[in-house]
Amino acid sequence: MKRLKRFLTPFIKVKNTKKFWIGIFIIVLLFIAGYVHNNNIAYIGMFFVFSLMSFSLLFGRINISKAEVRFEKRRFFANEEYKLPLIVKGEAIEFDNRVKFDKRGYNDLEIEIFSLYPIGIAKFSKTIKIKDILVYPKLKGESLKSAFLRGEEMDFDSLKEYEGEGLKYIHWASLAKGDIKAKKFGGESRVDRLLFDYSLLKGDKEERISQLAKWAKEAFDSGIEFEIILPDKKISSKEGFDEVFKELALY
Amino acid sequence: MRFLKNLHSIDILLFVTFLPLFFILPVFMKIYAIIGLYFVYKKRLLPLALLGGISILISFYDLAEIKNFEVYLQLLVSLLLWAVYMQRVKGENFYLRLSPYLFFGMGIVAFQNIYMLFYAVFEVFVFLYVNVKEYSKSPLKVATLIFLSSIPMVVVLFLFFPRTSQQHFIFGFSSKSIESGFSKVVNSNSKDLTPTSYPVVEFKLNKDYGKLYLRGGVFYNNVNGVWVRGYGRDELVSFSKMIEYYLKEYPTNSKVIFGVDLPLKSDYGINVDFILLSLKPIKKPLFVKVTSALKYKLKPYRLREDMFLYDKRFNKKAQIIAKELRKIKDERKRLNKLIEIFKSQKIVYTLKVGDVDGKNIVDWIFEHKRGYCTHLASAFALFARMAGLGSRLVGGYLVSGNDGFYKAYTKDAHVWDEILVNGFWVRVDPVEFVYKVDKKTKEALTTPTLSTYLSMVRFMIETWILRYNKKTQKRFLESLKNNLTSYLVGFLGFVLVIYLVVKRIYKKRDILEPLYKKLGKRPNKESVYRFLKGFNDKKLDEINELYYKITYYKSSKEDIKKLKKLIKEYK
Repeated sequence: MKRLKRFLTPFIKVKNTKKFWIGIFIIVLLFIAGYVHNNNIAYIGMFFVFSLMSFSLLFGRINISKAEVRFEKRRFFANEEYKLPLIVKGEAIEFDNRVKFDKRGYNDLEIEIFSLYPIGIAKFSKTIKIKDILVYPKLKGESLKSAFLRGEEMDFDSLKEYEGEGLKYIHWASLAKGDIKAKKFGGESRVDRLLFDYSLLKGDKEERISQLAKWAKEAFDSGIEFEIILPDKKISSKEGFDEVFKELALY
Repeated sequence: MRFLKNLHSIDILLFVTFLPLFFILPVFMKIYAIIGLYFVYKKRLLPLALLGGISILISFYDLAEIKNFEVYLQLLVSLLLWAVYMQRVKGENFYLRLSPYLFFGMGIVAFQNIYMLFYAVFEVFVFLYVNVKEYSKSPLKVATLIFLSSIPMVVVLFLFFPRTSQQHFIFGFSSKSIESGFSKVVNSNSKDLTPTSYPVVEFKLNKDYGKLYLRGGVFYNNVNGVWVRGYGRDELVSFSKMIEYYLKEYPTNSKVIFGVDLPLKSDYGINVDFILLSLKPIKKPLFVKVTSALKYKLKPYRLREDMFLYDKRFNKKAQIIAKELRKIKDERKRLNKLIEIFKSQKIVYTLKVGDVDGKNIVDWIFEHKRGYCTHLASAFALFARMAGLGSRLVGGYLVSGNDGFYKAYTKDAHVWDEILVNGFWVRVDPVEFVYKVDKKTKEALTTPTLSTYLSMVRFMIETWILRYNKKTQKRFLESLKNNLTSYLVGFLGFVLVIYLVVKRIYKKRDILEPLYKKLGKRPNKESVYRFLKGFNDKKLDEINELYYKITYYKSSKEDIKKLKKLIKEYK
């Protein structure tokens, strides 16, 4: 019963392709050949094409009804486009895995998967819902460096792996050698712990959360400890990246 | 080999669908078909175009012949082949993809025989396979599944789809010089005989009637040992034990249709000697509905002198014996005495007879004590005439049944006698009076049982599939009405067998089954992933990850091998 229910699910959409109509055309031709000459081989050919098409539709429907999509967990930030890390069970399943979340917090996602299995005479599709995807706040606002490290002594200290810093941080000499590095300045290393206070920030709630998220991300990337002070709670970087961002996403 | 590696699905389809049509092409087109392959491989368009054009011109220079459908079809196939070769050089396109379907259609029009039936089904499977290949990782398995599942539906559609015509378009390519084993004369001078096994006629009866005589010709006049037709006309007095059947007459190049003795009614003509005749020499298989009477009383329309004639210059010794027999007034008793004398000669039936004196055939037989049906029937007929009984030879075939299926080959050609007893013709087969049959002759005339059964299957397929029409459908529906339960049980059994085979193919053996046995439990309402994670075992985690990858990603054979190995090693 469960199988039948799944098979008969109305969420499966079937759209005939050009190949389907070619199949119908062949059936008509074989019928004419069979009818005019009472040619039983033509009739048998016609019955085979008809039956094979019917069973292909059935097998295609079974395939899509059984198709499953598994979602691999990863970090999502609002307002950014991702290619969803979906893994699919089923034959010849295709889908559009580009996704962009508009708001932070728990999001539901609808993905349309489709298949031309087994002979391409029909496109079977169904929508799969993935619930409760945690989306972290969008990263927007002033950068950590310009907000906290302005006016500090910025002496060149050492080189580090390039992680998307601004142009002035790029170590051009290393780029010329084919290995991009970023310059690390003395002023950065002197900051041990930062405090990000929600109440001191400008803008509405979303803007403030986005700013905090941006600073938290940059601080984690630079290995700087911090503490976020929200009106009713404090979050420490010691809790780990995902915990900090979960708090921000759900605040 | 590199050539084979570069083959595309379209090449396979084109090859498979064109193959039967190759045999209908004229010689020049056949040569072009073979040479053309080389130029297609080398992608040389100009020689392909030129050679093709020239071959078509040479093969079909006489445009008047195109009126003949056979030639018309040959031309169509040739033109399509020419176009396909040139298109293939350019690469795959819509027209090229359409070509296999056109070849398929032409194939089923060109050949309507049992071989084409099976080949067409094979072609359908290849079409399916090639289409499935585009979308499935295991195309052969999926194609087989769909194909097998379709069969019951095809059977139902075939049987019940309304048929409107009884006519059959018979178009085939058959030999123009075929021996029937049956001759217009019976020559008792015939020497050694080498039997041949060309099929002549076949039919299926409701039950087995043992040996049956198939009537092909009546011979009255003996001239120097050679029996010729002469004139005769018979009157049917009574008949019983009627049988109705469809017979298939193979191309014999003669007009005679060999019906079971005595044929009374058919779709074709019947002559005064009760011989079925077609209007034209049979050059293509002929299917005829015939009604015969196995018991009958036949008498000559009027008694004629030629029924009693024999050349008194020959068979002097036999004449002396026969003279004595004339004293027996009762014709039945006289015939029995004749048979008794014939039996006492201890004649050996053999195809190796050496030189035969056909003019003195009775004396020759009595002296040499050997011969085959031609000599025996000839001798007995003349002997009967010498004893004052009217006689004639009847030629045709003698066939034995196999579960009601009868098939006559050229080697089954036979001659027997009809003796006039008390005004009625009585069938007498002198071969029945022989002392023994020569061992080599027996071997030569025996048809292997397997061959007979295969012939029967073939005949049934031809009758119920290739020649299925409005009439046969009506017969089937009536039979279905009377035996609904047995048909239903049979069909459901057939569907069940298909279902079980399909299920067996479809069922994926769970690769983790041996692991569950080792663990002593299996997942219950939870995913395999969670189930295995629950053990908190590093080795199980490794198995879990690999299984997850195989199930949800594209997996390689190595992955499956590795997973099996890990499961085997797990303790």
